[in-house]
Amino acid sequence: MITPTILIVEDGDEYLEALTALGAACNWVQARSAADAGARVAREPVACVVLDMRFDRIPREHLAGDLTATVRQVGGDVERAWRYLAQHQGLFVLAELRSAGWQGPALLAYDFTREARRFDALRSLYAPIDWIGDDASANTWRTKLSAACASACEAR
Amino acid sequence: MIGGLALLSALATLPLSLPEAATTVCAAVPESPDASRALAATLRAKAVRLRDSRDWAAAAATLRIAVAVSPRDAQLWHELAQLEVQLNQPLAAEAAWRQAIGVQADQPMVRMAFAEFLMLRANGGDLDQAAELALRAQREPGSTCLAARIAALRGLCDDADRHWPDCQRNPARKPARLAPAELHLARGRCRFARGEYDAAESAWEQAQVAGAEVTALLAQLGEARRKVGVEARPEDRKAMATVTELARAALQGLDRGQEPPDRGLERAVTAAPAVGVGHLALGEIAIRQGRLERGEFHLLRALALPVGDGDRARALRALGRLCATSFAEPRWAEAAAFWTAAAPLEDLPHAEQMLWLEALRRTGQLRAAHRLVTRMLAQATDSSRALAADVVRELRAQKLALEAVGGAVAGEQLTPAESTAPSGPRDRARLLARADRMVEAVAVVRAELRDGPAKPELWRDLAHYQRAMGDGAAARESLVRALELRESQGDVHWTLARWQIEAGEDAAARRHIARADSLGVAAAVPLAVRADLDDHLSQGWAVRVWDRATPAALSGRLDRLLARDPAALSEPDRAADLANLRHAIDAELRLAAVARGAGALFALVACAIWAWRRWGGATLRSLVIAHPDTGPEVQRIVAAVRHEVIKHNTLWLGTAVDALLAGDRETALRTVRPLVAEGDSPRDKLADYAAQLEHIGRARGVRLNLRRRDPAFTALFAGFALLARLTQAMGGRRQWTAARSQRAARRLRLALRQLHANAFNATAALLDSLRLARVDAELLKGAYQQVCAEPALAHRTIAPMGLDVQGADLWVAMPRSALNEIAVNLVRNAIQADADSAIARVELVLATEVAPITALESVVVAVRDRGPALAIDAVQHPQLDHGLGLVHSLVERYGGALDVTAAPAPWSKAVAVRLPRAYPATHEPLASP
Repeated sequence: MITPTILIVEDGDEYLEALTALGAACNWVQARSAADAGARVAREPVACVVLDMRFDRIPREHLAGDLTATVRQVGGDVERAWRYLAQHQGLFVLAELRSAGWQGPALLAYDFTREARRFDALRSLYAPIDWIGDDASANTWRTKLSAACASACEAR
Repeated sequence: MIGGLALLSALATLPLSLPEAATTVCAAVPESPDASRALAATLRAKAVRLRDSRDWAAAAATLRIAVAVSPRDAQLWHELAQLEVQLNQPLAAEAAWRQAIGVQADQPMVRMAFAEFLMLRANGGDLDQAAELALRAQREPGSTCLAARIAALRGLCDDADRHWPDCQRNPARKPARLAPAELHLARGRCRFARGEYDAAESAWEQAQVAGAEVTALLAQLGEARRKVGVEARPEDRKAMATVTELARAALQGLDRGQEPPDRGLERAVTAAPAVGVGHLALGEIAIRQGRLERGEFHLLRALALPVGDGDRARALRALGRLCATSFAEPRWAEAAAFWTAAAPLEDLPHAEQMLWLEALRRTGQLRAAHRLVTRMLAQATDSSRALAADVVRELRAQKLALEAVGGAVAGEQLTPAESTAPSGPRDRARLLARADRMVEAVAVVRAELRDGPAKPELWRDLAHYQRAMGDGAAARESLVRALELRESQGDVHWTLARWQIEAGEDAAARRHIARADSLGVAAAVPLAVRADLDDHLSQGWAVRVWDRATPAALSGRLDRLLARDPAALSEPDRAADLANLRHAIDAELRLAAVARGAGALFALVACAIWAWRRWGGATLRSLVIAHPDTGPEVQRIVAAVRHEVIKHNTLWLGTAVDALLAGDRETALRTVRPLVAEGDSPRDKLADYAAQLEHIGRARGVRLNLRRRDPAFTALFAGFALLARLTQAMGGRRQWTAARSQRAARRLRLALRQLHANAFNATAALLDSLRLARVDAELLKGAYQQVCAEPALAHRTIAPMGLDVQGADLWVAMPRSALNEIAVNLVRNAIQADADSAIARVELVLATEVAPITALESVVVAVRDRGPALAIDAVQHPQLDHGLGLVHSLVERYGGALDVTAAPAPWSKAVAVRLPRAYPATHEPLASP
């Protein structure tokens, strides 16, 4: 049986350490930026991607996204534009992966409980995706990851 | 005979100033009774002349010779006694009257005079004996008046009133001495002392009619009435009647041996505390229940309130029993005093009479004890109350023992007959002293003290003789010797204390005053109380204000004194001293009460401050409502808390719980410890963010209490505290058992629930509550109308507002006031831009927009106009004093953006505000992906 590889894209090590502690039979790999993540999925088969949302601990030049458009969008403030990119970097990474052709399942580590309409919009953009909230238990994580890996196997 | 008569004649013409002359005379007088009587009559005439010329000493000396010549002449003794009174020699006067009564018992006038002397004697008098003498002098005019006055002084007010009609029918021959005014004054004081103010007022009004000045007394009465609230309201009278009824029932039940009633009486007395019989019943009940101090308090209180004679006697008897039998160390002096002031002997059971006798014996009141045992024996022989033979034998033995000891101790004769024949050196010394031959008297006593065994009574006599000679130091030393031989002599302590006070030896005097007080000398009580009060006053104010027990105890001692010696109030000087003392004690009690009140108030304020600091303060939501400008920053920090503190922890704690349940403490500890470790742990981040929020609040004068008032932070801090304790417990060296593992897992789950379920929901609710404003057509119309009404645009013609609403139920996370400000400025700017048109026309557009990539929705408020085009830079970086400058700063503060776009004809451009769309929980139900 092939051990599935799960790519964790985050700006620290919290998810990697926590998910490793789950003891699940997975091969955990990590990327810290959209470029890294793109390279990873191009280099090896990745069953699932776990995406952190906020990336405020990596250099700004590593952030994905169109800064110029973002500056216009946020009212002309470059600093706010950087913060906007960092704040939603997970989605920019996912957008890069999708545009690079990777269509595997993605698990967004973000609480969409009160933004169901937004998540619906995101699903229409980046399916297959799912999200997992901040208060998820270990069992929830196991369940979500299993479901994501299973959908990846079916897709293959 | 002839020689004696000649000498008699000579004496009648010579001034007699030397007592030695008596010896000469006696030697010269023949044995013939007639000659003796004649000589005595001559001497008496001489004494009368001297007395009339106000030479009291010579007159007394003459009469002393006369009584030596004719010792069986009661009239001579009587007149001598009166002169001794004039010379301020009360002991000699009393001895003379006793001789008078001893030689001729049937002398009502002498009895009355002696009784009056005893009544008025400076040290409080012997009222019992005075009453007995007045009773035996019933045939004498004015005897009932005297009996009435004595009864009043003894506190037997009803007896005094009973004697008054007889007094009116049989008044005194010397109205000046026994004036009705004095009697009424005494009756009034008696009633006043018992709190029967109406009766006291009536008696004093009678005294006023009889010519007495009673203004001060009536003022005192009014003050007392105000204090005890006698002038009660009708509802109070009803409560008092209830107390009386309950108390009577309780007392009857107690008499029948029934169990004390429930607390109904106590509640009733609390409602109406000025009913004496209520306190009487409560006192007896308390004593029955073993609450002795409480019982004593109520009984004393009953005596201080208006009660009938029967109730008063019952309270006194109960106090006597209490003092004699209930305490570990019987208070014999008080017991004796209470029984003495109580009902007649006949009303007392035999056992109680024996206790009374014991109390008198133990406190050295041997004469009173002798009188009591004599009366008991008389009672025993009464057929109606016959006692057993062995009891009678016991009483007789007691009487004999008292007679054997009493004369020596008291220094006075138990029966007048015994004094007629001086038998020992002590009597010789007394006679010498009476004859002013003090040096010889001292010599006699000293010789006796040298030769015989040490006798305290001899030292006492010696002290008096020495003092009479002016040798105060030696006199005090002699009393000290008397006390060394027999310490428990209350009257000697009291005498020595007074002499020491006169000599300025205050410190030594205070010791003896205290001892006299403890030995039951009533006269010493005020001074002892004063001394203790001075001690109390000499302490620092901090001690005084907190020490309420000392003044309360002093007040209680005064109460007890007045209860057992009500006559004290009838003596003006003592009454004034006691009033002053009471006033000083009351002042201390008030001071202590005020201090307690102040202390309680201080404690209350301190508690309130402590409670305010602990549970007071504002929540984040109230901060944002009061200061809307803090909203964005508060939202940012709360969101950061959710992201950096709450996020990830569920996973860690769930793993730790699994490890604990599997018995793997090390893994659980390794998992949990980083969450609460010093450094960059979530707990530290939480503290940092809380500090930031508190700083925001302080900058606006708001004290935030996140730890206890804000649900989200309360849950977080509690959860981390629990985790920290758990980590400490898991890291300890105690053996780790399966049971401990289970317990730790349970606590970990609890921490998990605090940190996630509780804190997560609370932060979500908080963030929701901070989203305040709905963007709708109403808002935009209101802004438009506000601009059109502005005076600056009054000259413009403005077309009705065009409105294009492309969405519904749109919310933004900003105050409605700020949103209104944005809309007003956009509209005003657009109308001003359309300056070239005759009619200004603008259109407002309300729409939503979804950002690419992030799918974030924005609410767009755009104003279309026909004015000149605007550069994007002029919109996104406007001048601060421009209308758009305010819009820009508001929009930027709440995370939005200002933009300018092209607009379809007839419009030239659209200035748009893009604000993040918010989803209130009440409008957007929870949905699971």
